[in-house]
This record gives sequence, structure tokens and C-alpha cells, in this order.
Amino acid sequence: MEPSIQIQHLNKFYGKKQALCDVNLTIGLGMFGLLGRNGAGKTTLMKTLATLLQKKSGTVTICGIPVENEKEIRRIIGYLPQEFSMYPTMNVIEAMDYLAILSGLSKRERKERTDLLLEKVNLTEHRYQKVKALSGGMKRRLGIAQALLNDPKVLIVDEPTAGLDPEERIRFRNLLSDAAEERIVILSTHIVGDIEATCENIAILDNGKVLYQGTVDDLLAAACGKVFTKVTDRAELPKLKNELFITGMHTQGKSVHVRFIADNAAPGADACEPNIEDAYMLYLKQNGTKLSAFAAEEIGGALS
Amino acid sequence: MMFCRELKKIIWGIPYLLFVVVLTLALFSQGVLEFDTEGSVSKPEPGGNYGTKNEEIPELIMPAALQSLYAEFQQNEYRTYPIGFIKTVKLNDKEQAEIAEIISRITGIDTEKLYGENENSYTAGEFSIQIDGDGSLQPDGNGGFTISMDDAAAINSMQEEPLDLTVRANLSYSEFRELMQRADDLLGGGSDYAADALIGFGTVPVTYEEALERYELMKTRDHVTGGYARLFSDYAVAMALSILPVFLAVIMDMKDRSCKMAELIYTRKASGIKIIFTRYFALLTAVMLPIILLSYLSNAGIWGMYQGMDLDYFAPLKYDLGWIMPSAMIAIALGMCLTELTNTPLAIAVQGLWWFVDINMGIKSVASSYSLFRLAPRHNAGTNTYFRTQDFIDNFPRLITNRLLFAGLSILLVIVTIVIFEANRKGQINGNHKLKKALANFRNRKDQSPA
Repeated sequence: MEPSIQIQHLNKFYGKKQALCDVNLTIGLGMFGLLGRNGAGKTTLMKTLATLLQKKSGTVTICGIPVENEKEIRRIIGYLPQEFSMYPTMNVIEAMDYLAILSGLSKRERKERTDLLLEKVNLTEHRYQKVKALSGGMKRRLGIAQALLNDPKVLIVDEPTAGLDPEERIRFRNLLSDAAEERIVILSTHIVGDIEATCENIAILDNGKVLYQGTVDDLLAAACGKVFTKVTDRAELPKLKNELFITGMHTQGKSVHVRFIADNAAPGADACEPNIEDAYMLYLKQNGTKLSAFAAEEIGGALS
Repeated sequence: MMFCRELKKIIWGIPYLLFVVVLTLALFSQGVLEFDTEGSVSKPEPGGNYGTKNEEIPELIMPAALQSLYAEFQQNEYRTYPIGFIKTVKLNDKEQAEIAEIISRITGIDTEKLYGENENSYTAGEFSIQIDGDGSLQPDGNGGFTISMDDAAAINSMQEEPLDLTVRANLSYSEFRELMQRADDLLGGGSDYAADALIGFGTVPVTYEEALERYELMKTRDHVTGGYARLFSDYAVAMALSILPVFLAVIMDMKDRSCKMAELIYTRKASGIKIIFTRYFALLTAVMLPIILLSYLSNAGIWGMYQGMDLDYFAPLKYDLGWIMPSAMIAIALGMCLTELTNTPLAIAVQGLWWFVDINMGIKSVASSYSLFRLAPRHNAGTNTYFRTQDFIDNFPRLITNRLLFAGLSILLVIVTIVIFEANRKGQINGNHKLKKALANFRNRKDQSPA
């Protein structure tokens, strides 16, 4: 049977604040992207799947195992938390071995898996280097390696590329894509580029609610005919910001190329192919998320 | 394997290095590595001086305690040790009257006479001379004074008969103890007059026969090395192992969160029972290793002094495990439990307070104390007392009960730690909004409070 994650009517509260609101998701083999703003509930959902938080109501099964059966769930998941680090005084091999022991691997398995994974994430040369001496990118790669130690059926990766330089980000995305060939990989992020590059299926989460679940193509198709570009003078930019829902812009001399979302084309504007960032912003806008042009610009910046 | 990794994680760290250094310095300052300089114990010869001992002999205790109380009453300065440090108590008039009443009931002397004696007395602290009649005080030209008296008999107040302070013949010892306990209560406790401290007034010389018996006991029961190991344990528990391990436990436990390792560990297959017990025994092993080493360094130094005698070379190990280890166990368990619950160094404050009170409450009973709830049982007996083996034998069942109680309590705390760990793992504590808020408020208050 193909592995899958079934989430039905999932609710989670922090005190009186509802962090997850009637979440329904079905996640199959391969990469699955969970997109949302900061505070949308992505980490809460990831932690619930990783048995680090308990749900208030609803049902969650991972590969047929109810999430309440923590012991069994922990056998089949790998988890890379948002803030990943390890004991700084341990070297890479020691840190991997320590976590492999906690994963219940035998001595032979530990050696085999550690060697294989360090090779995969290109850290073999740094195996005797102290964790504290690794760069940010190397640490994230080590994070992926440790999450794959027990050869999990499900890999849960929370905001893994934040703070990485472009080269490391691409390398990391490739690693995740490789890992997704034989397992479910759930990637939570607010960086649209990560999703665009790796995921076919996605969900958009906002204020604890699932706004969208489907393929990236469907999301893009829904935005067709609603994204425009316009070249304007820099002096007009403040006025345009108030009038249009701008998702991107770049300056060329005294003129500015503005990209915006609208139901109809503005005078002098041309329709263009939507990208996932446009589609995502449109979805948030259509679902009543309060996004002022200025806020949209801010989010767009974070998302790009 | 997990145990080895945990042990290595503890040992290869600065906190552990500091632990070993402080432990060694603390014990070194008590002279545990220089027992050989005290000289060896040899078989007592007739006609020697064998030291003194305390015994509950009413005929000795009652007059000595009475004299002491009366002397302090006269000066209204009473020495007490309420929490270890000396405290001089001054009583108000009403309380002084009650002490006078107690002395009066013991001696049968009227309280007014006790006060009269008090007023006419002179002491080193408050010297006074009364001159009656026509005496005069003249400068002698050399910076001094000459007292001239017309009537020498005028110095009558200084020649008054001293009070005959004897215990009433019909006063029973139990009645005496009750009265003395009342005096102790008035002084706020911790005085020599407390019922269980009165034995301190019963000092008698040790006889040759007793000295010989002590020597034989030391030889046959302690096999010599046992006495030294016991003395080492006394210092080790009181000065180090009742407090230092808590630092190590708290630091190691907080490291998981400060290094952001907690979630990585929580999502692993290993059970809370396995993780917590492994960590507990790794910490205990790390704490006991230097103690075992130091105890053997201390003990081996005297082996050469007793050549030809039947020495027990396992004595240090026996005392390390039986006497010292339960104190280390409780300090580690408390450290782990409170840190897992609060993720703060609260355990250091709790254990520190417990240790401080335990050490100081029992400072008058340093020589020996085996109370059931003592964190650090005491048996501070050196070669001059031949290690007081009989005292140890008499109290051995109590010591065993105490040590088993502490070992059991520590295991119970470890079990509680496992429950908290599992709750944290599922976000039941850290994810619990109210508790999280309460703990955050606690941490904020601590951060905001002036250092």
C-alpha cells in the first residue's frame, strides 16, 4: 500500500487561541508543500504530525497509524525542526551516532546509515568537524541527514531554507527532492521559491485554516488573466501602491516595472503569465486575508 | 551504547571538569588526602590518656548544665546555634524572669536571690566596684588611682557569700530535662540545654579497658581502613556530594534545550524510561568516578602504616557506594526532575537550601548524626577516638534506613522525571498554554529581579 497521511477535521488550541481550524488534508508519496505566512499554523501542524503536540480534536493517521500511537509514529517519521542545531561540542559523526542510538539502530546499521547519509549530503569530508564549526548550510544538510537516519516513510521538514544563501538553498532543495522519491516529504515554508522548485502538490494555510489544497498547476491556472505588468515612472509609484495590489517590481533607471494582481487590466498594463507567488497572493486576497498593498509588497518580498 | 555516549557527553565538558576541580579542592581542604599525617593508631598501654567521651550520667550533667545556665543568666548572654552559626541571645526582662524561675525550680533558691547575686556580680564584660562608707579615690600621680578606706569592712558587698548552686535532691533527671528544654525553647532552640544536647555536659575520661575495646573493634570490625573510609565519607557527603551533583544534573538537562536538541530527541524511537534512566545512571557514574578515585587515594595513603594487619581493601568502595552514593543520587534526581519540569536552574536553589539547612542544623552533631531524614549523615571521628566504631555499629541500622530512604526517594524522583519528560515530549507541558505562561512569568520575574 502506498504511504499516505490523512488529516480530518483537525483542531488545535493554545489556550483560547485556535491554531488549527478544521484542517482536512490528504498527503501522498512525494514532496508536499505547506505554504503560509508566519503564524499561519504551519509549525503547529508539523509538530502535531511529529507527535510533539497533541490535537484537540479530529483524526490524523500516518501510513495507517493513528497519531496517538506515538511510539509507532516515531518509528516511521524523520523530523527536521525549524530551529535546528546539535550539541556543539560533538563532531558530525558523534552527533549522528548519538541520534542513531536514540533511533534504535544497531551498531552495524548506525555505521552504514551514517556513512551513506553523510555521503549524500556531502559532509563526509567534515565528519570529524565539530558541529559548532559548521556553516549554516552544512548544519541544514546535517539536519536532513539526521532526519533520514531511521530511513523514515515520512520526512517532516519545517522552514528548512530560511537564512541560507542561494547556492545552499538550491542544494538543499535538490536533497529534499531526492529524499522524496521513495517517501512522503512535507515541506513547510513561507518561501514560495522552495515550493515552486520542488513540489507538485501543495496546501496553503492561513490563520489555521486550509485555504487551498491541490497541484501547483491548478493554483497557477486559477490566476491566469489576473496578473498584469506595467511600466511606469518612479514618481508615480506611491500612487500606484495605493491603487493596485502589487506583487513585485523592479527598477530600470527612472522607470519601474510593476507586477500586480487585478480582476481587469489597468490602463497601459499588459497581462502576463502568473507565477506561484502571484497565485498565492491572489488566493490569500480572494479568501479575505487582510493584505494592504503595502503588506502585500512586504509579504511578496519575504516570499520571493 | 547509549550509556557510553551519555557518559562521554558528560565527561567531555567544562561543567564536569569544574565539578571534579571543586570536588577535589573541597575534599583536599578537609585533609582527606593527608590522613597519614595524623599518625597511626596503636594498641593502648595502661596508664595513658585515652581522651574523653560523653555519657548520659545525670549526676554529671545536672550540675554542669545548671552552672552553665546560671553563668549565662547572670550575663544575659546565651550562646545558641539555631542554624549552625553561633548566635548570642539576649532575653528581655520577662524571659529572664522565666529563666530565673527555671533555675529556681532546679535549685530551690528564691528568684530574688538569683537576681541579687546577678546585680552584685562583676564580670570581665561589665566590671563594677561598689565602695561604701567614707572611701575616697585619689590620683596617685602616675596615671593611676589610690583607693583609701576608713573602714575596710565597708566593702561588704564584694565579700558576700556566693550562692550555693546545687540541684535539689528530690529533682528527677526527667524533670530536669524538661526544665532545660523549656530554657532552650525560650532561647529559640539550638542551645546546649536542649534535651538531646544535654549529654554534652556529661564528659568523662575514657578508661584503659574502654580504649582497648575501641582498639579491638577498630581492628576486627573496621579492619582499620573502614575507620578512615568512614571519615572520608563524612567529609565527602557533607562538603561535596550533597550539593555539587545538582549543578551537573541541571546543566546537562538544560543543555538539550539550549542546544535545540530537545525536539530531535523527542521524535526518536527511544522510550522516556530508557533515555532518563540512562542519563541518570551516566550522571551518577560520572559523579562517583572521581569520588571512588579520591577515596582510594585517601585510603591507600595509610595502608603502609598498618603493615601486617588485616586490612579491608574494599572498605573505601563499600563506603562510597553505601554511604556517599545515596546523597549523590538524590541531588542528581532532584536536579533532573525540577529542570525537566521548569527548564530553569530552580533545582540548584532548592538543593542548595536543603543542603545549607541540613549541614547547619546538624552542626552541633557533627561528631555523629544518623537522623532518618539527614541529607548528609555525620560520623566525624578520627584516629584520636579510634573512629568510634561502637557508635557506628549501634547506629548502623538507622544509617542503612536513611540511605535506603534517600536511594528510594531518588528513584521515585527519576520516575517522576520520566512522566514529565513524556508529557514534554507530547507538548502537554510546554504546549500547555497556562503552565507555559506561568513558567514564562516565573522566568521573567527571575530575569527582572536585581542581581
